[in-house]
Amino acid sequence: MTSDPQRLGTFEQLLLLALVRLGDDTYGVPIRADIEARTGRVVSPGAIYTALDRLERRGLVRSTLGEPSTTRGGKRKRLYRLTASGAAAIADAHGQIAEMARGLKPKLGTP
Amino acid sequence: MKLWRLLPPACREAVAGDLEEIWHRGGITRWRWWRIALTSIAACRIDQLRHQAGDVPASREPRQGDRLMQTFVQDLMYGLRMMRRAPGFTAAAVLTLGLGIGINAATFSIVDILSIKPLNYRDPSRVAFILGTNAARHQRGMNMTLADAVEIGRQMTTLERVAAYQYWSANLTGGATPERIQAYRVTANTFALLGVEAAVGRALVEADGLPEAADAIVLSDGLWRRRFGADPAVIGTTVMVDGAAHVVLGVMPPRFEFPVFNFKGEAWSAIKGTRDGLARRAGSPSMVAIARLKDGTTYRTAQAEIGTVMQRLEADYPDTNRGLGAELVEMRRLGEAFQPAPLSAIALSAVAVVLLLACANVANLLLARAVARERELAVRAALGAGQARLVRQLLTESALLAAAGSALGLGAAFVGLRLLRASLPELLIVTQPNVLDLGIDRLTLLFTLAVACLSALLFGGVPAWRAARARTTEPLKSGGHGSAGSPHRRLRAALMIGEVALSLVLLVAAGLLVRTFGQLQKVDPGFNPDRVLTLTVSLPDYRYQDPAAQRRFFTAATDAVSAVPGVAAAGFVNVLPFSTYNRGTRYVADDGTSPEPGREPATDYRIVTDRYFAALGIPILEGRSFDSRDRDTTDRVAVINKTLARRAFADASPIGRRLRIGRSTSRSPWLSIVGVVGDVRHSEVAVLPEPELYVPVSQASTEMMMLAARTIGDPDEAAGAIQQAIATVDPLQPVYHVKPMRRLVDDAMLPQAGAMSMMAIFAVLAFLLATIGIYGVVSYIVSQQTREFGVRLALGASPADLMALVLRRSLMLLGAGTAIGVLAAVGVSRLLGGILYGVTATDWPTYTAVAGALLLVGTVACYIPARRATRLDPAVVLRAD
Repeated sequence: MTSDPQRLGTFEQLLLLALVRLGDDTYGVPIRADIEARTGRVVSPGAIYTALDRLERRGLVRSTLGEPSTTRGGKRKRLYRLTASGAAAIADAHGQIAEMARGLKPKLGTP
Repeated sequence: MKLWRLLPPACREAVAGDLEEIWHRGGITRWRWWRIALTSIAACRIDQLRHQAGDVPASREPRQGDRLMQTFVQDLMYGLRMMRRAPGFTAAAVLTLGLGIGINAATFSIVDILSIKPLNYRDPSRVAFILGTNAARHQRGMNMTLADAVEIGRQMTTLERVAAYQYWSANLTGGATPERIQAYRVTANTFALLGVEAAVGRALVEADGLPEAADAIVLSDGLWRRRFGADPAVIGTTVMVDGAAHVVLGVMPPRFEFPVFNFKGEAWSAIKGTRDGLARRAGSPSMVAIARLKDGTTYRTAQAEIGTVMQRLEADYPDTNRGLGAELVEMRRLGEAFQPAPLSAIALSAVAVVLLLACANVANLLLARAVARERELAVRAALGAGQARLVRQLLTESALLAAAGSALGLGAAFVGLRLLRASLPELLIVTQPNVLDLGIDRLTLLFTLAVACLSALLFGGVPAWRAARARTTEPLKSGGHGSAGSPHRRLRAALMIGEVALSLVLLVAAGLLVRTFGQLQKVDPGFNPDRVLTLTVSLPDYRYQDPAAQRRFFTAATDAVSAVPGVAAAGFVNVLPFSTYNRGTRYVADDGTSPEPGREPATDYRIVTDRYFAALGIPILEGRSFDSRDRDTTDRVAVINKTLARRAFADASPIGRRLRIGRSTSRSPWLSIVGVVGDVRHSEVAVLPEPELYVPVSQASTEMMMLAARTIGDPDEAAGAIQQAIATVDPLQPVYHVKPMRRLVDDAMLPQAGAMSMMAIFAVLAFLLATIGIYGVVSYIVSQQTREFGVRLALGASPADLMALVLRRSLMLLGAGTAIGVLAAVGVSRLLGGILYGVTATDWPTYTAVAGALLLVGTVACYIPARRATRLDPAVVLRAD
């Protein structure tokens, strides 16, 4: 396990970006929908949860338990929000990528 | 949802909740939802394992259990990596194991479903059959007169109760269509004896057997659901069974099965009568008797007492009971008492051999890999891995292979069993209805788990032990060449000999069974079973009371069927060959001797219409068949078969001689013999013909007869027209068991056909595995000796010399395996004795053919790698060092 709090995997970056977009106290279902809608990646709630759990251990996100609901078979949501260091980490990682990608759009072939 | 229990508790609520919410929101296909659900479980589980392996908080000392778990997970991850790194090896090992484990799972499932389930009776080990024995005829069977059963119940002190039952193929009318049901007439104490209660209403009680009791019936759960829509209101109403109103008393539980060794019962009705009435000896019906032993008595003491009772009955009633005895057999053990060969044990042993071969092949692969991995293991050892740790690592890898093989094997077994279930013979479905549940059940899963563990130890144990023991710094020093010592080679030689020998045993068994089946098909049953349609008609006595009416029906039906275009000849008989029924009688011949009462000879008894012999193609050897001359008003006549003619009249011509049916004290009329017909095999193809006595239907009476209609084309195509023709005689009369004669004969060969196809599949698999094994061993030997060959070539040996060298060594192993296999097969094939027919267990043509085929294919498997040795370039080989 990496101990460097600054290093983020691609999937972790996707998750943190989703948290930035969706705002505080969001949970697995909207996160999954957001990632799938934007990237086309099919991710399972299990993968989202285990990755967020890892990020929580590293102090990048914080979670609380929400209210149970009938559509969830009476189970509670686990709600996530970014911590200050999480926000810094994703800003940093995104900045690095953006810096590296600057001016490369024609070469990368992305619109 | 049960599924969520698969998630680790830490993440269960959040992940399961998300998944349920995703499902509720919709917009996802079922398939896709399952995919994310299962990957969620996998992700959480793997994450949990990682935590246990790695993220142990530094604040506390790891406990022993944690450390073990940690190394296990490390071994697991390492093993998975190794599997991925050698995809060819992994695929070969997993496929081989899948084959071996799959065939074991499937066979176990079949054997399990065909075996007798624990009986759902109270204290079932005390429930027994009373078999009737006949000392004079060396017979033992599930039949005994009701009178004897009642007497045994009256006189025995070691038995709590004695009951008896009789098959009753009944017409159930009153619904949309009349239906034929498999019912039983039972003595009223039967349910008390079994100790079972009805699920709805009540079962039969003793009072239902009193002469003044109302006609009543108890239904099986299946019949209740099928016919009455599981309506509880049917209790207390009346249904029409064989034209008589019967009160429905109750419905038995779904798992209730009675009797266990016959057609599954769908309804039960009480035999009525006073105790003395039931014990009346004259005309007492033949029944199957069952008993419950009193608590505290053993089968041995009960058997001793029943012997005394039977002797007493023989002394009291010498006319009916001479030579008759009885034998108590625990109900569940009846199969063992009658089965010719322990088929299920043979099948399971055969698949165990297939598994052994698969394990041997995988062990072979592992040994080859162990050589390649010697360096890797030595490095790990040098870095501090203990011997135990290395063994554990290798065993974990074996367990992974076994797990993957099991998954594949279970999948294959699942598909195979499903295909098998779709093509089951009808006879098996009628007699063993549970075969429809054939599949992978919990017990099969447990068995597969055990097989997988065992095989992991088998194929992984020796290589692991060897690898750990052979671990020295040697591999590190040499140029990274695995240097297989002679122990390695000896082990592989032993594996090869073992594989050849084992597969030979299975091949011989399969060969003997194939020969048996061939011999059975060559047997002439005494008639031509092709292009004959058969069906059964049972005239209810409420509509056909007197024999004349029955005769009129059968004569008219014969004429109607004969007139159908496409029917060449048609006739009725009371018992068709291979119909699984029989009827017999005693007889007395007019040869001047008068046998002692009770010592009269016996013969099968047939009632036929005129054209029966022509319809089945039974040849008339002497005299004539029945015709219009034989009426109920004319002299009584009979036709006998060759066996009866020889037995009753020796070599003299029986035409014009006379026979009388029944005992020597009987006053039945004499029958003049007008013809002799050929012998017919009746119950099994392999059983020699019994004496048979035929009488014309015009001079006898029977309410049930079976039709044999010889058709010009496919009998199945004529079935509709033939049934319509019978309906013109009586539109209310149902016919049943409509099937071609050929199927009846084939069904009689079902045990042999089943054993043969099963063993053939096993043997082919074994042969395949052994061939691969031989190829593997010889390839390995060649690859290990590359350097030696290079030196030899450099020193002037010719490629042909090398080829000869390799072939000599491998063929010696092949020959040794074959020799051992032949010896083993001679011993093992004796077990098959009971189901072999027309060939002995030591049939030398089979042995020669099988050994020859194995040697031939084995030689080819040796030749291919041997040829590689001759293509070596010495310069390349030697420079490689």
